[in-house]
Amino acid sequence: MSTIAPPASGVGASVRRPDGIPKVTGAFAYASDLWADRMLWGSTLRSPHPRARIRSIDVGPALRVPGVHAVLTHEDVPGRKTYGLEIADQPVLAWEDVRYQGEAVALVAADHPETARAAAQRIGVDWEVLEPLTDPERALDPSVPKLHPSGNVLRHVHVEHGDPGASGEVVVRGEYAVGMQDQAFLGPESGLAVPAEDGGVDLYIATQWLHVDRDQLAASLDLEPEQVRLVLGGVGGAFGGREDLSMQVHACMLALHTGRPVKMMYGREESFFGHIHRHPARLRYEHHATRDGKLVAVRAWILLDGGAYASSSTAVCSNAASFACGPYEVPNAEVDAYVVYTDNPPCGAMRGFGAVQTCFAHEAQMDRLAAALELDPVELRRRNALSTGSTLPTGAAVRCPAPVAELLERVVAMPEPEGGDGLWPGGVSNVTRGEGVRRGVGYAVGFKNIGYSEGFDDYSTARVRLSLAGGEPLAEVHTAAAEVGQGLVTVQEQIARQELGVERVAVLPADTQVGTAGSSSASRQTMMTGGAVQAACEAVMEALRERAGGEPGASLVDLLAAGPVEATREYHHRQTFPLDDKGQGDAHVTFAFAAHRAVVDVDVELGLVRVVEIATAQDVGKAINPQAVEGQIEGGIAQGLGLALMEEIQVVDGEVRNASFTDYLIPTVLDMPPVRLDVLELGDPDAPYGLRGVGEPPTISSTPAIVSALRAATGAALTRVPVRPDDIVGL
Amino acid sequence: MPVPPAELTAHFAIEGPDEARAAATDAAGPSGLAREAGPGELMLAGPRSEVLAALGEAIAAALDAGAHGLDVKLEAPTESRR
Repeated sequence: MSTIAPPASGVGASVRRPDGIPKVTGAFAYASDLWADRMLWGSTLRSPHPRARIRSIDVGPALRVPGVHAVLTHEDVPGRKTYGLEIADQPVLAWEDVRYQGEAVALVAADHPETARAAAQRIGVDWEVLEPLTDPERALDPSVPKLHPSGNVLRHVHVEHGDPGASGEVVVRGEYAVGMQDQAFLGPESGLAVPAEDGGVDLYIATQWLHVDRDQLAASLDLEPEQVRLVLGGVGGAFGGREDLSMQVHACMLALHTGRPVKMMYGREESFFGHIHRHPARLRYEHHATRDGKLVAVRAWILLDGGAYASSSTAVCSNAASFACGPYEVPNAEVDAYVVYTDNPPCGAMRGFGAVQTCFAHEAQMDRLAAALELDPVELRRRNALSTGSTLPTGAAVRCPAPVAELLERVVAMPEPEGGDGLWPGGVSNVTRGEGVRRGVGYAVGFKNIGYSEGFDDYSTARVRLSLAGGEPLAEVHTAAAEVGQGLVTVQEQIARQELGVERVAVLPADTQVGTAGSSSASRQTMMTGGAVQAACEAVMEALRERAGGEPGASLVDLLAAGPVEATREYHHRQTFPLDDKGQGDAHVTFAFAAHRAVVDVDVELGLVRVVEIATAQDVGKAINPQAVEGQIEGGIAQGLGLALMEEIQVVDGEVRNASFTDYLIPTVLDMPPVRLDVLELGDPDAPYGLRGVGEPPTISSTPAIVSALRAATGAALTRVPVRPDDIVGL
Repeated sequence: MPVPPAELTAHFAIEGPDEARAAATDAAGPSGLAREAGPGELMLAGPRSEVLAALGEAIAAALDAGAHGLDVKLEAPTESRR
């Protein structure tokens, strides 16, 4: 067999993504664009109350609306009446208690979406309104009413490392808070369920993990998993918000009940009630250090508000505990992280997954400590930087490259932007001459696990088929991995080109007709599905070599003339282990690190902020597609900027007050500063191509860097994000 | 983050007066494994020994409070979280 040279569009090339231009021009088909003949529309009746008891439900008035084909309640759920990623505690449809505003109560299918919505509002519910439990600290009190039979504490992770009572010569304490951020994906929840002849259902859906959706659907629909077939629809962003079910069971119930295709598509307001959010957090920290700036001990107390149902909260709590001390050598630590049930909106996975909240706090503490020591904040971080071989507070050794000090040095070495460009915070609405504008510079560094932790046997599956089409080799790659906008289709193409040495690669639609790929989350998909595609390609090449029988000159076309070659392979990451009762264990696969420097201009009289520039250095292991890596880093920083300055779901007494993009602000292109990038490729020896994931680190430490810069400009403590204008002017 | 299914999941419904159902809920609660699973139905999910212990306590409490029947369904998946 002749030697195969990978084409220029293989690994390491900035190949243009196939969905880029269609998305910009509006031609891309999202799940909300799905259509089928004789299709009905589904709508959901939701609880207006954060806490209430249902005395009765009268579906009669809704059923009498012309055009309505079905009205369903909990009595119509064929199988398991609850669902959940970790604990099946969330009702498919509420039967007695509702625990948050927006909880699903009943469903309608009608021949027009407005008919379905109007009919849903005619369903009569007799409510007994109850006092909601909305303060997470109250939820810790065992004397308050239990929202679930086992109480309100969903998980407590205690980490004890070294001598927890150790003290240092210099001590700083701080209390911090993080607001409830939304994933704010642009494509609302949507899908199309089509009843099948075998009694099952085909669901076309925007999701992050097809197989975990399928398994939950099968349980609640009382079907075999093989009778529930999912195909990925066009996904308009995810960021963790599509890990949980939203309308999946509802659409399938309606389709199976009516025998007709049913489409469900949330509007923007309903989307805010239809998915989980980032956990709001309260954090109390105590840092001890020697006078020469070496950390002696960290004590942290972390409280996450999980809202009404479990979602991914137990894992987020574990992550918050694991990363509470930051990417530093901490010889002694005691961390207590809690996540509790309340009657607030359910919270779960979001980009950064517990490390965002703690990074805001530990980086603020490092700045405070530097001030107390009269030491440069970067120098303090450098003196305590984690490195390969360091022991984490969870007792595990860092096996992968951990270039914390190098990342900081690279960020510091980048030139700072000059002032005097005439642009003031607030843009054209700032009519001053810049009298109250001050510049601030801040730094932060963060880290996070890549892939699933605590003993989860995480894997992805890929099927690769190499054949002749039109006389030329064609590789087809089939996985269930969800392209949620991160560029995964391109990554799969590039790996197949690299390994097979062919130019023509077709990535087939992701569906459940191939083994699971796991979720597009935890910055894992390029590593996991990339690893599976690589392994399947290697198996195809091995089969071709066998077919060649050692003949050195056989061409690929000659070999494929005898028929296609196909292989299916799984990629599993190395084994991890649960944390024990002292929070000790080798719980994480590998880690990714990033450092950020923020330069801000602040109008201290008006409370307005302009982020002038973000500089960042990040180790990605291997940039399969450098342009996509840049996109991930810039996008992650935008979400970090949003949390720093504007993004928060306002929840008052359990009620969401800003369920729209008019009132929930996300950064626009006018808010995003230029990003100065430095990408390191220090490969992880345990990962395919040395990959380490890209998506989350930019979100983690960009927020504290911006707030650090705001503190430098204003002198204000700024212990809560998002920072409001009131906080800056000291109202 | 999804996790593998629990080593053992018990769905159960107590037949009898409301007091019996309440007693079963109160008895199962401290295990940390109990959730509502439907009208009058509870679920216990977790390590086998803990689920069985909590189920036993719930049943005993329900019987003491006047229960006269029990409908239980156990699931022990082959691939599970221990």
